[in-house]
Amino acid sequence: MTKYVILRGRYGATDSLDFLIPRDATGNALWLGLRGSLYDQYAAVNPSWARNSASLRALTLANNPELTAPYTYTNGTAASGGRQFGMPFELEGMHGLYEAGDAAIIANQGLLIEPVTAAEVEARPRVKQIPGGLRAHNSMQLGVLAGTPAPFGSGWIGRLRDNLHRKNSVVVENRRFDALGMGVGSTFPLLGVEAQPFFVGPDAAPTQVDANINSAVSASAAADVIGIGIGDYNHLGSGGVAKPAFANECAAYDIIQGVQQRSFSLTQQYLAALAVNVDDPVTPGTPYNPDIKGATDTASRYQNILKAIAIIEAGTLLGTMDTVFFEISDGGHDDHSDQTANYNNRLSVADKMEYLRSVADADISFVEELIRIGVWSNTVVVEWSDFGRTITPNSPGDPTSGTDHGWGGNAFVYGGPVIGQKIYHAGIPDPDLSHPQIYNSRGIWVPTLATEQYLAAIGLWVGLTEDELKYGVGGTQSAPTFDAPFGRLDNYNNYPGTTSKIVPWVNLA
Amino acid sequence: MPATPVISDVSAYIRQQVAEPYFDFSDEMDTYYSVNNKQTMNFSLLRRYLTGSATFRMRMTNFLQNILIVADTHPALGSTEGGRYRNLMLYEDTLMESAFGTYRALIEKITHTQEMAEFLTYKRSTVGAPDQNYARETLQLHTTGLFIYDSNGKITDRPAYKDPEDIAELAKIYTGLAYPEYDWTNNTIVRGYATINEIRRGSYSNRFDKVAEGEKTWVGLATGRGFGLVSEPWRHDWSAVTLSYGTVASGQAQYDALNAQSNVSDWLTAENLQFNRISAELDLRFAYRDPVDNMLVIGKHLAAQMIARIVTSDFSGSYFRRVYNAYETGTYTLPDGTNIGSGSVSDLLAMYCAVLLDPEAVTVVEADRGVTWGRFKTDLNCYIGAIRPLVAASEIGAAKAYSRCPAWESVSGLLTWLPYRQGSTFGHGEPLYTAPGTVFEQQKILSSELSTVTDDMVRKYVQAIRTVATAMTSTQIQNAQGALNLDLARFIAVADDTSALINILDAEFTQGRMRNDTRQKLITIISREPNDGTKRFERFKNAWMATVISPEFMISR
Repeated sequence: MTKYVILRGRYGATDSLDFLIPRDATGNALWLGLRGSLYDQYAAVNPSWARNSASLRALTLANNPELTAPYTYTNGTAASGGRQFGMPFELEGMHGLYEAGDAAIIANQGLLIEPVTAAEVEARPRVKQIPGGLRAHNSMQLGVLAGTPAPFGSGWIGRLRDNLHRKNSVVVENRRFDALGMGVGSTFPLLGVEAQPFFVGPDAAPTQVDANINSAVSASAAADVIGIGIGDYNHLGSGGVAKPAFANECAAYDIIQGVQQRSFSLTQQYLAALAVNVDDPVTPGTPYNPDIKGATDTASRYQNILKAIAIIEAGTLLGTMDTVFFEISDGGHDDHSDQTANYNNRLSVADKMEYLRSVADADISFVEELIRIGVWSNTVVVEWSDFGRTITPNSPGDPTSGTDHGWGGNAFVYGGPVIGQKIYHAGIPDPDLSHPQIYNSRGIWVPTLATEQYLAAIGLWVGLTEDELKYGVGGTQSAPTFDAPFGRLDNYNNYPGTTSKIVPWVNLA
Repeated sequence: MPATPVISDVSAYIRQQVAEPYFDFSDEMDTYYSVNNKQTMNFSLLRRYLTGSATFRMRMTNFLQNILIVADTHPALGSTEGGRYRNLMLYEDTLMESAFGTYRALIEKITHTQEMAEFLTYKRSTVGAPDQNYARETLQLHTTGLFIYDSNGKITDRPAYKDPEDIAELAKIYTGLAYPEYDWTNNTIVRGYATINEIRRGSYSNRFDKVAEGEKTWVGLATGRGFGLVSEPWRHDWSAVTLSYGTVASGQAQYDALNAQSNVSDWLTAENLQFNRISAELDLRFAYRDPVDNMLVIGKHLAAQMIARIVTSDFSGSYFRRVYNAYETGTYTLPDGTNIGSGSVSDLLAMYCAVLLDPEAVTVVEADRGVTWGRFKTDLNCYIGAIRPLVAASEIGAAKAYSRCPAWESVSGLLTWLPYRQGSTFGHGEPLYTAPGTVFEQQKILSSELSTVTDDMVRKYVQAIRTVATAMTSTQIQNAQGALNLDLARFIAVADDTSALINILDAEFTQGRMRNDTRQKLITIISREPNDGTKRFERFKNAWMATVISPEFMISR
């Protein structure tokens, strides 16, 4: 049975501190004391969007008894009872998944080089290494997608693929086609040192391009050129691999040449199937047109992923493959203020919240469809964003405020194999700015889990060992391969209660 | 082997272009369209880009708006949609008119625009917990960059500023700025204080021309011109600002003294206090020298950005230092021996000339040793550079570009490339190509979005050219729409003779500089159709299409 890995990005640094909100009396009061003016904006538009205890969707903590212990840092107030957490109304679909055991939260993760505390972050001169370009969108995005804050010319999924290909002796000709880029984001995470993605443009209904340049000349401008082999451009020169000869030429000219030269019949078949010829996996003979609710652009990309899965499941084109990786993302999460900057946060508070709700609906609608067509048990969705945001809002009292760049944040993982209804963490800071994992007067979480510690669980699930993830297939601790997927894992602490560096959120059975 | 370009007349060309009159985009909008919306904004941009005579200035403007990015969907910009799009044209005008001034002045100017305040969210930032967005990005994107470059233009691992310390401190400077609330009936500002008395020619050029003391009315608003941010000094953080590159003194005492006056007729003084703090901080930042090599940090970042975005990401250290020298001295010696530039630090004209006229930029040997793919121009310039010759080569020529030519209006790639589309600050305007081992690739400061954006741009470019090519060679469009016409007869007449066809294409479109490699590809493409007289049009069409997407046409031209 093919395994599907879907990397779900939220570009711009989503306010993931809002995914996991203290809802016990003490914690909620402290949290609202820090963030209340932001939440007042939400509640003023729709009372359902409030973040007080009664408005939150309670999270069952049966699998996290350690989290229900009393707070240590309470800004001088006495803690009454233990901690409880909740999710906001807009994420009620995800809340349902969590309670059903199919979703989990990775708490306070972020890019790290080594474990570090707030005091160590603020120490001058530095006593610990912290990632360069910390809290800058581009360097942090690249770090997450590379799977390490170090400069790297390949993505973590790409290096997983390189190692899987090597381990499973996948023939070179087939190595391109087990990853499909679908997002507006980047094919970069799918790029290995060797492996390249099979890239499909973000538009909903791609149109095939004729191999013959005559037809290409007369093709409609509206047609979305499908970039088979486009990945080669992303891949140029990385990891010491020589760039393909054609890249020496003008890119535009050679894209046409490249399309002609590379696996064209497969492209046409795939696209034709994607466009019209996929049967509904449940009702053969019926065209498959999955209806994804929510944000239109996200929905259309989810539709493409579902169609691709349907093709693969049917074995009609790409055959049965062990693992297929997809990348999908949306942007506009840089919520400095509610009417500004990017995409949804140029909207009013009401529109923004509706947008977030719409995206969340698309996510859940996608999940429902995965369940309906019978692949939920072999699909995992792993979310990421640039970094977390500040606890305290910008310009408190300003009705249009937002939050600023932070560091540690929360991420969802979901899917049939997920060991859910659980919060995976190595310490969630108490809602008090004096907590030793919070720095800066604005309240920035210092991550207690490195991002690659939860991403690496995917590597275990698709068939690599922890050593292979750390040192590469064929490598050793003293001599790791050049394409080891997560070569920095040994820097970090073991996940609490285990002898492994990797967060155990996926069922390997 | 292509000939080395003749640049003996470049000096005269540069001087002529600097003096060349240019139109404001807002004027274009006002003159030709009765409605201000996204479509008319795009048409205004297109018409100017495709037919304007101040092409050097326009190209530099396109470079600048890839650095100083704002986007197009700001609901708060202007009271109406028209106001919003018109304001974006005012922003373009600001870049246009400042394109040959100093970068220092330009940065200050854009700081006071509504568009930037909206895009980077500082327009409501207030004392207490200031919005850090602009403070962060004006350092990272507009001035110093994330890391300090070495004297060869390669990025080091030394951060250019301290995060979060510098960010948090600098954010104080940008508090207390707001949109003016304007009472159109009484022609007065309702709240806040004007920073600009009037926006003559639709730009922010008169930022320092204050209205008379105490006067609250802005001259010229009745003409519908845009205006900049106002000061709300009670929301400004007056405390001292301590940055790693210097300190801006506290203005608290002066503000308190002013605030204590019963007759605050001179709030403008407060406004001056506030804006002088911005100027003071910029002076510090622009004087900020790398302690390692004593070169100006911003100059290094700007020089690297400019070379990479205009010419090549694969530049040499000596090329970098020549451009940096133009930054620091503010002058550049043209090929005819005369100097150009104001002599002030960060003079953009001197830098542009240093970038464009450098031996590494004009020597085609670079192309022949295989780095053509590292050579690029700003995406929009690349497109315009391709389309303008097509417009000029048409029978009807530039005049037809003013008609609503279906060829370019229907080019989805073109429209998405125009400035002021919603876009990622990081993906938008990244170089089309980045060479391995260069500053962008090697140091991994490129956006992860770059890879997709790059592919997307290239593909759309191909689509765009294809569409225009189709339109120009379509008899249906020629006849029915009167679109861009090309005299096809002389091409078609020789189309059965492959060599003759290639030669005439080379003469007309690539100035006799077509490479052998391209010729070989053309031969292959042309030869797909028989040379028996039945497929002359197809042979020409295919060859022409390939010619106009060749490196010689697209990149070198």
